[in-house]
Amino acid sequence: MSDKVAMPDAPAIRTHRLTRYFGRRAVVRDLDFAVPRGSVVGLLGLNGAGKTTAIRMLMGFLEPTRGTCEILGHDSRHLTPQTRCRIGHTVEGHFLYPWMRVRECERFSRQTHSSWDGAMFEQSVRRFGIDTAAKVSWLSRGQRAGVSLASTLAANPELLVLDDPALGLDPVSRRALNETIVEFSEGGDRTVLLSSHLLEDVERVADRVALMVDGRMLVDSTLDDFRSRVAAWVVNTDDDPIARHPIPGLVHCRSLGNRWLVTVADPTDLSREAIEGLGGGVQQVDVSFEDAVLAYLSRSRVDHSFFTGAAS
Amino acid sequence: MQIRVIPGSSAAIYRQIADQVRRAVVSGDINVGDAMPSVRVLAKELVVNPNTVAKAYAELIRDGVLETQPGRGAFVAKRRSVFSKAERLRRLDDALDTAISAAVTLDFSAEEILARMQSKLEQLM
Amino acid sequence: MKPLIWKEFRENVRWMPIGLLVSAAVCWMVHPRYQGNNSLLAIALVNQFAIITPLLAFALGVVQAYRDLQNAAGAYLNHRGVTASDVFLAKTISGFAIYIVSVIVPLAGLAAWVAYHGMWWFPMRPAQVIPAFVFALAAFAMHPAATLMMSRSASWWGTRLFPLAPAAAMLAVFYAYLRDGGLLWAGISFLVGLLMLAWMIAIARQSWRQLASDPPAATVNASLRRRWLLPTYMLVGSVVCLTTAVMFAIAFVEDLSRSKVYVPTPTSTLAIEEGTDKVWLVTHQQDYDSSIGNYSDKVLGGEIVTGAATELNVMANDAKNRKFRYLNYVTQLRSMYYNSDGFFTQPNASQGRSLNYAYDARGYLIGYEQYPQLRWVTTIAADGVHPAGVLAGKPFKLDALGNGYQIFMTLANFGFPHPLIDADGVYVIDQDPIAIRKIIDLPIDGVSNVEAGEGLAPRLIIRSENQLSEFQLVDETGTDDWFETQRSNSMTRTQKIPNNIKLSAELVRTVTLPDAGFTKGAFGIAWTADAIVVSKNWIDQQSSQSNDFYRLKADAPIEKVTFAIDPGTSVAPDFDKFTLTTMLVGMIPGGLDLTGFAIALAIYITDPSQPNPVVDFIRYPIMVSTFFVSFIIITALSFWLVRRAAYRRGLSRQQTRCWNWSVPFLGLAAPLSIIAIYRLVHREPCPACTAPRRVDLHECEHCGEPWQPPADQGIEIIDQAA
Repeated sequence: MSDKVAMPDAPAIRTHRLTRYFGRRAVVRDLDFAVPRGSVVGLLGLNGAGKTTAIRMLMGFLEPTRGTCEILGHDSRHLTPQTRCRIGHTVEGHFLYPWMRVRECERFSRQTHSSWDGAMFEQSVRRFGIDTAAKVSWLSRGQRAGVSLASTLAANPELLVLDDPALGLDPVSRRALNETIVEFSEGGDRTVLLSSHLLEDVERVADRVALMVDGRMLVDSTLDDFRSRVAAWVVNTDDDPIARHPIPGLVHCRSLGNRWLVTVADPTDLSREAIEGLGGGVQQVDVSFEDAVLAYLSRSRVDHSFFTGAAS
Repeated sequence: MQIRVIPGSSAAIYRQIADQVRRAVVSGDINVGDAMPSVRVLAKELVVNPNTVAKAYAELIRDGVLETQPGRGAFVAKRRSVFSKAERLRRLDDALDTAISAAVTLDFSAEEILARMQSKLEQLM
Repeated sequence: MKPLIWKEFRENVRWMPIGLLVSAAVCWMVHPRYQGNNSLLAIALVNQFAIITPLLAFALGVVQAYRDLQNAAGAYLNHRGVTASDVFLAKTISGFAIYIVSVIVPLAGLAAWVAYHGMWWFPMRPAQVIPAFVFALAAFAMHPAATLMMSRSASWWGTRLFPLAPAAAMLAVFYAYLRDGGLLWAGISFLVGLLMLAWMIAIARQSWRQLASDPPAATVNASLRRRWLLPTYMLVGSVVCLTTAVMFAIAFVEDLSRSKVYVPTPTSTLAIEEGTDKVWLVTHQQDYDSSIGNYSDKVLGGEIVTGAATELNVMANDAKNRKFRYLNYVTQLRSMYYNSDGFFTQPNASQGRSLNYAYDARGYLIGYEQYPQLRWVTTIAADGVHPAGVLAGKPFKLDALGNGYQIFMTLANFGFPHPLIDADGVYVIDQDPIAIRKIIDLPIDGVSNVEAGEGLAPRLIIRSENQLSEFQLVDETGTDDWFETQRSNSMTRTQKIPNNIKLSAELVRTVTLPDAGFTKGAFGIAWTADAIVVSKNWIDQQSSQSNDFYRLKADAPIEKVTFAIDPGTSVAPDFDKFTLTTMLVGMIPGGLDLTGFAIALAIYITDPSQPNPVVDFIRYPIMVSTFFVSFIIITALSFWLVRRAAYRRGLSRQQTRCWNWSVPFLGLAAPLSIIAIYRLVHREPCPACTAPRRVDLHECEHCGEPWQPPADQGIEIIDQAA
């Protein structure tokens, strides 16, 4: 607790040139990334972009090949049980022991955490509509997510690290999940790192977005900043406009039938000129959050300029 | 007042909230002096990040749609213009552009559109 | 900790019925009723447990470790207010509980069953399950070994084989001692086993804490200080693996090069000529004689030993067509003879046809009636015969029956009931009625039964300290003419056993041994009418420098005779030739060779009558040079492999130097250890100097350049907060 006093404004999570190889393959490369205290960060990326690997390193389950990562001011490689109790973590797929009953899950978690809020557990479990006498193996995926979230939140963590919690959830459970996250973060002093594929949910609940492509962090900014710095144009032309003119700041160019959608980050006058120069009726279009993210994510499929070997 | 948030649209969520509050004020759904729900309550209701709601409220307060009373939250303010004439015109043009292009694509004639708009205006004012 | 133990127990208790079932099946199968009367309970039980318990412990360890090493389960379990060490210890404790229950319950059941039946139809007692239990306890070492194996997410070599090898080797040692060691070795093994378990658990815990997060080579390989448990274990593991592999290779080669049929080989040895009682050096060999269907001795040549300075011709014709008696060993008595499990010896019929006797380690002979059914009918103690059902009277000090059989093999082979010997004296069992009689009351340190010329019964020679006492076994008439030697075919017991003779012993003479060398170890002994001949080097093996023998007389000074053998005529086997085995011996780590040499030297220094290893070195030039050539080739190969492995493991110059120094002592085990201890490093071309550089270091080891962050793509949107 002393570090809280010492560094009130220190980020909840900070990585410095975090790199991880599996064999010869770099899965996370030179990640410099920070999660400010009190923010809700959506971590986006395709499968295999290195999100889960980065989270496993943050939680100290995997050691970085080089570089460092800190969580709540502590080196992730040497987390003490006390620090762990201040961090809530749900794993991909909401793992629970299938042979336990929900009540036993609660007891197991209560006995292994330093603080426990039974009322919070009850409330979260009720939100997902779960019978506490049921065995975990009888629960649906959504209900399992509920138990997993409930036992994570009941430990009163300062930081919540959720690894793809919405995967495979039904709409009702998804809404309950979002509600939980919003409620958790409403005080403004608790931090959430949320890895997800559901852009709409991220847009709703996150105030920052971090976007990984092929092991690199390409976006780490507030949601609004990100939106305002990405622009898109529709170009009427038959052939690929990129082949002819290099456009500064080009994120992605996508074919829409006989037109092309050109997405550009931080458009400068230079890039505007270049796009105007493509000719054939150029028109600027609005960019939704989803469009912008998709433009970035599509890059990994096309552009392997810096990355040798396939990420998976 | 019912606010609906549609993620994934081209408008940012805070803008959707601000626009809907503005429309409600204009249409008289909520009246001058009415209390707005707190940021927390609205965030929970809409299931959006509280910072997003706070940002929408901040914009509405800046625009003079809402005003804050210390310790009591946000209320609908008396209508006063906080924009310059030119800005107001730009915003009117924006709004009309959207409405007219939609109307034209629906294959209405100019007369029909104008008549319709006239009747709507009469209802509002 | 408590909830973790509970979780592990709940999760894995389902394996307990399988363990119970397997152990119970084994306990069922070892019943003498199913194994036949040739089996003893403790041996059968340890044999079976040696197969199943390591497997059970290993399987349990793999199951327990595997599940929680998966990403999701690992994160769920470890991300709470517990340490990795807590998790590991909880696994070990609950694993042990499950394992030991599934072993103890069937064993306790078996012990109860045995206690209920008692020894009435077979020699068995509840304590016979103890060696099996101690082995099972030790075999739990496979559990931490399995955890160790699973937690090292390393290469194939490092992961699979090495962590298991030392544990398996230790279990093999436990097996060897527990199989027929009885309660004494069970007690020692129990203490040693606890130490071994503690050691294994400490190692596995270290591995679980440090290696389960797959750390990069830069942090793990750099310094082994303060975490020496695992590297030491791996070093031991690779030495064990290498040595075992070489031993198997040697066994295989030896098996291939050996003849599968009997090849007679001549031996030169001292012998006493029948009739004249002169000492000869005789070369003889055992040939198979198909006319009698047995082996017969044939003298090839030899010369009389006079003590003159001339070298003796071992193939001289003088010896042909003469009859000789050969020297016999003076042996130490053993506590328990073969065919024992440390609790009982197998019942055998050497004391007459009607009863089978087994020796009980508590010091009694248990007599069983065979027909109409097995039944305990009598107990023989050192001072009397007691009825069945009790163990009473003065116990024997050693296995009197087995020692008696071994010493009086000549009598036993000829069909006579043999006397019993323990450390206190010699006894005979009289029949009808059964009674025990002590015929010699003397503390016994060593004993021999020697031939005493044609027509005479073998004489018994007993060593007490440095005194040799010769006894004659006589019947009621005071003579030993009860002994018949005319047996053309000694392997068949067709003679009528003279059950009715009552033997007693008569002291013939007592002599004193020449020096202290004879009071430890074995020596050869022969009988002549006027003296007892003893020698420590009576067989020409090309290993002893000087050959000599002593004539000991009751009332005359000791006469020492030295002699030398003409090397040109020697028939001693020529060990000094090129063999593949010697080549293979060169693969054994030099440290072990050196240790063996040092031990041999130490033995020679403390006891100069033992062979001198330095002289042996000079005596076998071909063998020694073959060994050294092989050793040098292997060492060179090891140097090369160490350099390669050290590069692949990214070891520092100093570490590589240390390992290079270890090569002469470790041989091929050095590169194997490097592979087992250190983690692989990966390299990719350095952008600055194009040399392959390690990915886990910040600076290039060739040009010192730090890694450059990948070039911006011009589309990064990173704000100040980051």
